[in-house]
Amino acid sequence: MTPDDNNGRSQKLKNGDLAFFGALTASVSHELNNIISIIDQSAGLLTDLLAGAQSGRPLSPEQLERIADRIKYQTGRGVDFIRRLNAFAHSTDEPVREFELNQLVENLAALTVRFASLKGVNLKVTYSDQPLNIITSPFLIQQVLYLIIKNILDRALKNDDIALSIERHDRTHARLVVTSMARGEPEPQKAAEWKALVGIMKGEVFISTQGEKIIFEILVPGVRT
Amino acid sequence: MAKAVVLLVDDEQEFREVLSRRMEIWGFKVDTAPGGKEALKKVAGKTYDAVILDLAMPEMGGIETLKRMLEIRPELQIIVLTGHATVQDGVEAMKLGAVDFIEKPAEKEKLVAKIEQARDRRQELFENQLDEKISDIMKKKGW
Repeated sequence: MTPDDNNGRSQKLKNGDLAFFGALTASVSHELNNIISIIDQSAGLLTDLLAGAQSGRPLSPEQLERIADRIKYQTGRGVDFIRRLNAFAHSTDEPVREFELNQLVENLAALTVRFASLKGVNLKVTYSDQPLNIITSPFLIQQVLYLIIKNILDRALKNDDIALSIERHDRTHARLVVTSMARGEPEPQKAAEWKALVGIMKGEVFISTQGEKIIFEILVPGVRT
Repeated sequence: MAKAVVLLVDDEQEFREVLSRRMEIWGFKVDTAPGGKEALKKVAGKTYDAVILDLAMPEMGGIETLKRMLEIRPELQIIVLTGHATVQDGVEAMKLGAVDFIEKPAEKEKLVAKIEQARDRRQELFENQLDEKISDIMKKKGW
């Protein structure tokens, strides 16, 4: 894949890019707001306890320690989200570049897990044994994976599992497989959109069913040998 | 006036723990529920002056929980708690019967005021219903 392949994309697909970017950042901002709310209430609790102490109510060191631990833990959670969001935002810096595929997918999975947990669905990722360095569009890979997972979630039932695996397919191709319970097939228009996105990377998407499962297989060239 | 009895429904355990502790310090009696199902059981078995309900919850979402709680107890005074991204949902919740909404992070003064308003409204509703019952009885008896 070359940067020119990405420049020739239709406006329709580019609007889809914005929707994907917006949905993901909105979800992360919601998580960050939850974290800030816990930190804010913890600071408020300290103020309440100190006010009580000034009127003679005993202040327990253990309680203060618990509050400090909570603030520290939530701050760490927030920093992790910001670091991941930053990595996601920088995935648009260059249309095509070399990156490690497992790291990219791990980051995306951490940012999208809220969509799954809101539906009571388990998202499990299996990484390749060896690092998989690839030259392609990190943004397009994330977009396709997100769109497929979101499509599955739209139909999923509580306690369904989504399995995502990453492996080397052959000397030049990486293989990403998303498997879930088949709760109906994706609309042909959606499948065509995913195929078009992967096509920009000179890759292919295959959708098949196996018993009660539906399998989305994405083959992407550009793996470094 | 008696302490207001509040039910706090939120899936974030740490948020529940901290806010419920604070509300107790502020003088309220607080029960908590981690999700819609548990909240429905609680409102079916106990009278609450106010329910603080998070809208973005897994499994049974806040809007669904709101509808089902009001089916069980139409007089419930439900204040929904929203993130910035779900203010529109807060408005939707009020159309469905919530009495108020507050954005996270929730300020103490606003939250206390809204809980006390909810308690007063519930008390007023209760007194009006009691008056109506007494009037009915008096009419039936011909007094």
